[in-house]
Amino acid sequence: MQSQPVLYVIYFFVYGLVVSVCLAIQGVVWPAFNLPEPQLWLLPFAFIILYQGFWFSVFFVYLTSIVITGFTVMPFGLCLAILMILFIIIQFFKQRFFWPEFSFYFLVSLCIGFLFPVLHFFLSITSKNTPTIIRPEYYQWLYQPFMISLMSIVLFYTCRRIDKALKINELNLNR
Amino acid sequence: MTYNLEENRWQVAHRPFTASAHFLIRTFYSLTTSTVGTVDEYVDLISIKKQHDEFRKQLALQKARIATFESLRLENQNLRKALSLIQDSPYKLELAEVLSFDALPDMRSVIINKGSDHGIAKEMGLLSESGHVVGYIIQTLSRTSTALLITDRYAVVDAMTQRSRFRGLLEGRTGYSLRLKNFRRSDDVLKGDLIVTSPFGRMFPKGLPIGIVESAKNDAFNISKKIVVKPLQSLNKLERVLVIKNFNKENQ
Repeated sequence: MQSQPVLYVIYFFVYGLVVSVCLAIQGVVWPAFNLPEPQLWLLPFAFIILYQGFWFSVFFVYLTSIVITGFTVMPFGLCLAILMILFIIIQFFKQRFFWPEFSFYFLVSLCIGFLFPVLHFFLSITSKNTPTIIRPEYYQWLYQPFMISLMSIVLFYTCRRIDKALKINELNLNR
Repeated sequence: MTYNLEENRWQVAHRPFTASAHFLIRTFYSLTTSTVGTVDEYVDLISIKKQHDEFRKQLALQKARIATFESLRLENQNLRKALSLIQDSPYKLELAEVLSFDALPDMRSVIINKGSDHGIAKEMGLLSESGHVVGYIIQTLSRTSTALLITDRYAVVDAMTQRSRFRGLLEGRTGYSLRLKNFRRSDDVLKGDLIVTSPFGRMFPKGLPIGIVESAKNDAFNISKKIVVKPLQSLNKLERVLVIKNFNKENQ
């Protein structure tokens, strides 16, 4: 039987791998069918913040930012800033209205699916020197929450299976 | 022995029975004929349906085959274009396949299947199979490289108008168009002008086509020109690119 810290580390990197797989799928599979890609990686990201402890989630935000920059040309700082804001928002809701059912995860997925492109737009026009976005891509603001909330059904149960396989629910992590 | 053709009394008396029998026979005959016909038709229908299903399958198969041939024909056509470009160009071009697009929707970059092992280095220019400028390399690993497309907001290319030879900087707009900057209001740029690479850029040889001027208007303060350029190549469906290997002297 592995000790808890080792299990934590394994769990941490397994979810880093899940985020990487989601990013690879969305970058390769969706464009092959000429479809705009949904931000699937937001789902394991939200799962960790919702179902794991505060500091574990903070480290996971850093890991996710590092992983994402391998798949995009978005600057690390901008990526980290967006993810930190998302983390704070999810934590805010988690502290007040949390219930451990799929429905809560679905609502959070819907929420971050909308917030990610919006935050990206506003942070990039306020923080970068070359904010040459002329107009926001409104269809993304609608398409992303729709697709992400739809995919959350698959990801939620996949993440639960991973937790079960790693016996992570036995750790009784505090919220 | 001969058959007695004359009707006797018995036969006369028997006539209604014979008529009834013939009537019944006729009725059954027509019934049987129509039943047999219906059954035959039904059996035929079943076999026709089977044949129809078979033909439909074959048609679907043939359609799929035609689609594959069409796709192969287009691929062949594009590869021929790329090959003739590689053969005719004074520069060394490396053909690479696009593996993946940027993971975030507001960013425009691609990962290609050639890296430093193939002689690819940073700031090498990227062309489409038709020879249009599409981007440049920003990062290389041993077997893959990341390239920034010209429509990305961080992309900048030194460019000029082919007709009037005015020079400026072409920046991406994170969408499907580009903006040509550093033009005065008096500079001669018109809608429809071809934008090509300038001789002063480090990544591309001069004169390579980039895009067409979509609109050229004076800005709000009437000092400079706001020029929007549409790329010649659709950058959302890139499959293969050509990397210019021996133009940027710093990389050799």
